[in-house]
Parts: sequence; C-alpha cells; structure tokens
Amino acid sequence: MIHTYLRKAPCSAAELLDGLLVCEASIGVSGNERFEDFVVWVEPRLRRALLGSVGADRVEDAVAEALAYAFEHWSDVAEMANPAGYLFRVGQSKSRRRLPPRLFRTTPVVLPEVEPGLVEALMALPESQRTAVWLAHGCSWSHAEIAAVLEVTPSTVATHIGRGLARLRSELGVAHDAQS
Amino acid sequence: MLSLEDQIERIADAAFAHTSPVEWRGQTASVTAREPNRRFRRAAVGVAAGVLAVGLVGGLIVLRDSKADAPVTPADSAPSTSREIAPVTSAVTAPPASLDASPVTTTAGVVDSLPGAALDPCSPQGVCTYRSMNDGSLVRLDSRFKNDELPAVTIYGDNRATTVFFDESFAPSKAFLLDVGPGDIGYIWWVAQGAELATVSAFELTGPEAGRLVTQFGAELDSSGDTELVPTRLGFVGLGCCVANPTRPSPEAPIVIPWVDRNGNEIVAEDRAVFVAFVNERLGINVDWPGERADQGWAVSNGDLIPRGMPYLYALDDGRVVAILDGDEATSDPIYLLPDGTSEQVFSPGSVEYVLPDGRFVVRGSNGSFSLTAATPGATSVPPSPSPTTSGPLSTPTESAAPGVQPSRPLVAIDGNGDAVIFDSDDGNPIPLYDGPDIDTSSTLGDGPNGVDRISVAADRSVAYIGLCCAPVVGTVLETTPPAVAVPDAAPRYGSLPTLNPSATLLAVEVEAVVSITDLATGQAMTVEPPDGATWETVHDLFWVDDTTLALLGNQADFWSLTIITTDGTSTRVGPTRSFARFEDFGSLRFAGSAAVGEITMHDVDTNRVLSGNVDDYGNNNGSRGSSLAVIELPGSALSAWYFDQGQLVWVDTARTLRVSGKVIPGEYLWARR
Repeated sequence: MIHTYLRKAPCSAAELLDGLLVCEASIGVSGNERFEDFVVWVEPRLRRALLGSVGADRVEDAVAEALAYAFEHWSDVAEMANPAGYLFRVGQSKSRRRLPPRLFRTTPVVLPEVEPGLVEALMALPESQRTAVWLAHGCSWSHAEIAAVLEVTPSTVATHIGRGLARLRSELGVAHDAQS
Repeated sequence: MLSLEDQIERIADAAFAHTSPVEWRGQTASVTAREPNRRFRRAAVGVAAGVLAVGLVGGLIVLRDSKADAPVTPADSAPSTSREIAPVTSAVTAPPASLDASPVTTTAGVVDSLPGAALDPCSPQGVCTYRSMNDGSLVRLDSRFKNDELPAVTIYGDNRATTVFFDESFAPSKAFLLDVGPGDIGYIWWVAQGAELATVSAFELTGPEAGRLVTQFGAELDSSGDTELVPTRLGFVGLGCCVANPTRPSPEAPIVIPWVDRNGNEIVAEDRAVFVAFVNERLGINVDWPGERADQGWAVSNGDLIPRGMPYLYALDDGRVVAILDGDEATSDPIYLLPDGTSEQVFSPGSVEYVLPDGRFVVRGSNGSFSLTAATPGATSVPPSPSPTTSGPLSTPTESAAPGVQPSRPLVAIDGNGDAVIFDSDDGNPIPLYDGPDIDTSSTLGDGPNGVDRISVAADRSVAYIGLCCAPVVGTVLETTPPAVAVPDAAPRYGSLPTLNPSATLLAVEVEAVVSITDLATGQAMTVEPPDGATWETVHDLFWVDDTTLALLGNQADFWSLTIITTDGTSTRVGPTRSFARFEDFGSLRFAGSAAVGEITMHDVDTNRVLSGNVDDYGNNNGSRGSSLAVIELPGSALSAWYFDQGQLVWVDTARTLRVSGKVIPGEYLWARR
C-alpha cells in the first residue's frame, strides 16, 4: 500500500521505494523493480538539474553515468537522504566540460517573454553562479539542497545566486524586476 | 515581461523539453558517444568480482549480470583473456618533427609565453592522453590517430617524434594511456569496439618490437563506476570515489594491475615516487621517494580544493612535486610542493593535462589544442594570488583575549535562525535586533526578504543598521536603537552592506555597485563611483579603516580589487585601487577586520583563506612567488571571521559555533563582527 502524502523533508530513496512516503512523485513499487522505479523518479530530476550545469550536449551522458553509479552502489544510494543531489554530483564530476555548455543543441526556439540573450548570458556565467541560479530558479531547489550538492554553505549559495542574477541583469541591461 | 527568475524557469522548461529521457535496461537511450574524462584515471574498474557490471555501450545502456541473462559481449570484439591480441612487430617509425613548433624551450624558471610550443593536434574523433617515458620523453596516445579508426602512440624525443602503431585487433572504442612502467611498457585502458567491458593491455613502446602486446589484464574491468587506478610500486590499485576515503589509496587496496617486464613477468617499479593523500579537513600529501631519500609530506589545503578522488601529483626531477587538486578548469592551477615543506601556487595558461619530470606542462587550450609550456609556468600577465598555504610573511593574531582590554565595539551576530542579535557583553547574552527568516530554508530571491546578511552598530549602541538581502535585489537596510527590535519600515532605505564608521557619524551603503556615504547628523549623502568611468562589477564588502577611510572590496572584470575611499564628511576621494587576485580564485571573499595595525584583512569562506596586509601589500605582486600579503591560518574552517583590537579574533566555525577571543558562545551562529 502506498501512502501518498507530502512532507518537506527529503525522503531517502529507500523510504521512497518502500512506499511509506511519496515525497515528490507518486510511483509504483513492486519488490524487484525498486531500482528501476527509482530511475523513473530520479531521472527527469537529474536531467533537468544537470542540463544547466553540463549543457545539452552532455546531459544525457551525465545522467547515464549517474544512473550507472547508482546501480553499482545501490545499497548506499538507497539509504541517502538526498540521492538526487548526490547523483547530481556524480553526473557533474563524470562529465567535465571542455567547451562552454549549451542549453539547446540547435538554435533555440523562440521563447515568449524571455529576454533575447538571456540563454547565452546564463550559460556564460561562471560555473558556480550558473549552477546555483539554475538549480534555484530553473529547478526550484532550496538553498539548503543546492548548498549540499555544491558543498558550500547556504549563505554562499545565496551569494552565488545574487551575484549571478546581478550579472545577468547587467549583461542584459535590465532593471531589477523583483516587484514586476 | 516576466521576472528574470521566471524567465529562467521558462528557459529550463523549454531546454528540458528538448532533451531525451535516459532510459534504463535494454532500451535505447539518447546517449551520444561518450567523451571520456580528460582525467582518464577516473576510468572505472569493476574490481569487485561477481557483482553486477554496468556498461555504456554505443548508446545503449545495459545491465550485465555475470550470472544471469546479460547481453553477451561479442566474442570477436571483446578480448577476455590475456594475449588474445596477436603480438605484432609492426612498429613504424614516423617522420620526425610532429611537433609543430621548433624545439621546446626548457630553461628553468623562464616563463613561457602563451600558448607555448604547440603539439600536433589530437584527432578530432579521438582522445589524447599524455605520459612520460622512462627517460622523461613525452608520450601520447591518440585513440583515433590521424582520424583513423586505430590508435597510435607518439613519443616525442629531443629532435624527432616516433609513432608506434599496433595490430589492428587493438581497435578500441575508447582508450587511455594509464602510465608507462619499467622497461617502457605502456599500460593502456581500453574498451573494444562493440564491447562493453574494459581491459588493460601492456604494450612494448620502444625497441625492435615496439607495439607488441606483452599481456592483458582482466575482464573484470569495465567502463562504469567511479573508481580510478592509482599507480604504486607494485602496480595499480583501485581507488573508489565519492565516499569517505581519508587515505587515498587505501593501504589495504589490492593490486589490480601489476607492473610487468617484456616477458609478462610481474616486477616492482623500484624507482617510482609513490603518493598517498590524506583527506580530512585539510588535504595532506605524502610522497615515498625511491631510494634512500626520506619520505616527505605537505599539508596543502582545505575546503573546496580537496578533490573527490586522488589528486593529480607529479614528481619532478628537481625534488619538487606538482599537485593539481581538481580536474575542473576553474581550479586546475598547479601547486608546487617544495622540498622545504612549503608550497606555491602558480597560474596555468590552460588546463594542465600532464607534467613532465623536467617540469614542463602539457596544457590544453580553450580551443582544445595542446601545447607544451616551459619549465615554470606561472608569471603570466595576471596578478598571482597568494599561496593557499603559509608562504609569505605570517601574521599570528591570537585567539586569546588580551587581559584587561575592553573591546572597542559591541559584538553583533546572525544566529542560526537567521536573526540579528547584539551581545550585551562577551559573556554571551544575545539581545535580538531583528527577527529574520531562517536562512536555511529561504530559497527564493526576488519574492521577499531572504535574510539578514549584515549588522553594523555604533560603539555606544545608540544605533544599529541591519542589512537584508536580497529582495528587492538591491537589498533593504533597517535602522533600530538597541535593544529595540527593528521592524520593516514603510519607507525603507534600499541598499546593502550598511557599515558605520567607528564614531558612528557616517553610514556607508552599497546601492547597485555604487557607494553612498551618508552624514548621519545632516542626512547629507555623497555618492562614490570609481574614477575615469570605470565600474565595480560588484561591491562585495565595505570596511571603515578609520573614521575617514573606507575600504571597498569589489571586482573589476576578472579581478578582485581593493579601493580606498577617503572622505572629510562633505566630499570624497577615490583611490588607490589595487587588483590583487583573479576573481575565480575566491568564491566569497569578505573583509575580516584588521589583524594588525595598519592592515586590512579579508576572509574567503569558500577556501577558508585569510589575507592581510596594507594597501601596498594588496598591490605588490612578485611574479609567481605571489603577493606580499600575509596568509593567516584560522583555527579551523570558518563561516565568518573578524579581527579586531590588534589581532583579537571573532569567528564562527562550520559547525556554527561562535568563538570570541577563544571563548565559545553558546548557541548556533552564522556570522559575527564587531
């Protein structure tokens, strides 16, 4: 029986797959398929998070590496409080960039209500700033979650995000729009 | 128009929609040909026999159970036993001068200009890895030599380059040169085309049978996981990544790949320097030198510089060691570990791929090209940063309280709940100044106050200013009279970094990279901007050196800068400005008071480095030896550090413990100052 309720604290993968809790996704669980169910849950979250870090050209490789790692170390990963965050680091470290990452493999589609040049400016941010901004605003991760995967303090995350957004505004020549 | 934050979310939605799910077990995945890590030692070995092996094969993710229904590796493409590749004697000596540039300069101490001597290009479809032969020559494996399907090894001698080819049965989908062992036997990690499991083969690289397979190791090697192979005197051992490995490699780690002679007999590499890394709060590196030379160790660094696996370490002929602590381009600046136990960081003109025993670096440029530097890269046109260790004059501020000395200013702090507090004394009785949001759970910038990030209080406690970051992004400054608790004002003062001068007559605030100094008696504000149309990209911190001298920590382009602003209360003068470090070298540099008379001190949370010196020290760069700034050792990793009253220290460690002059203040804290 799967109890479907949400709690704010992150669930471990084991809790998630035991069906005791459903933290961010409702998944089916049946004994031997626990790892594959975990993949179903974690893959899109990982792919979205890593996209902003390693770029579109490498994101699938990075996700695959992270999933391979998870499979190989499943007994450990299953007990982690934040397996997605940990696997984000695995995918990130196993996909070191050589060229500036791109968000889109081809010319991006026109995005309504998005500043021209924002994609390029975002991807041109220093890696720490870009990752923090991406995870916070592109993936809705909390500062604490970001801090955990970047191995910095939440206040440093706030610094990276603030600095990154300020740089984007400066690059784009847009005013502060917090109230807009 | 959407807010910038919402636009980023929209971009993420669109970009995510353009990616393809990575599917699992037997389903085709949208995995492009994987470009292996530059750090090939990250190549995995599945040393645990009998466990499930996972492979990434040609865009297909499969699980391979050694006992069950795993996909079968094609027998004709995946050598599984030693000597399955027919020994060949077809080594070919290629025309010399594969080096595009004329002979490489190796004059010790000379700074090579960028980009140095270019090496011939690596084939676009391949991956090049570099090592050195026993005589110190550079050797390279190109996994797709000259765009062909076959790999080749090129040895760069003094005046000529020799290319070694292999039998066509050595046809890898990927291949890295692990190392060159005794007798110039090359150890190549590779995965056969169409196969899923990796192997390591030992080839002769010199002599009449160059290119001949000597022996081959283990079907247990695979291309997944996160384990690297680390050389020792007996051979390679596996080092698992991403878990607590305080000793790297483990002394109990079994030999996975032994060194062999040309007959395939196991031998010992007696003349090899062997490294062990000890990872705790600091990174220790020990080297076991060959022969009679005594072992040596260095305490290198801490914080973000600690690598996840084995650091990249290279023993030089002159007794130095080069350490590169991370494969990231941003943190790959080499550190020389010197025979006297000190260390010195230098700037690399690119990503360091390998360091030859004579001190030359193989460097990857931003365009993917490779070049060979002279012996001592470092003094480039950028100002060098201070060494991460204690080179240079060392100030020694104390944690102990000076007996009988009354602190010049009250202690203020941000507690673990994100609240601003002031202490009635240093005995630890916090009085709330503002009830801020919990900084650990605050996640959204732009939609509301994110938390207290600055407190400045008058020496007589007559007024306190509290900075809230970062909503709106420019920040909000609240005013209160202790012990009254501040409340958000209907007409708030916008800005950040509120900083009172010692006599509390002037308040400096940053507003969008411009500084405003307000005379609190008259309300008159002066705006301070950099001269000559320059801009501070970001103003990171403000610090009153005395009543009329304000220090500004900013960054201009890619450099951290210190600017001195003087004011008589009615006018201001800006300058001098000192650029003292590359911006990427410090993640969150902030002022940290004054560790000694006349000094301005800074602390970087990310690297836990503390720098201190006068204005001239910040502008005094001595080439690759770094600046004349003092580098101070904190008692531990700190979230916040502040020196006051001739070197007394207030600091908050990463466990959120606040200490004032060595005394622990009960409670959890994030930041503290006087």
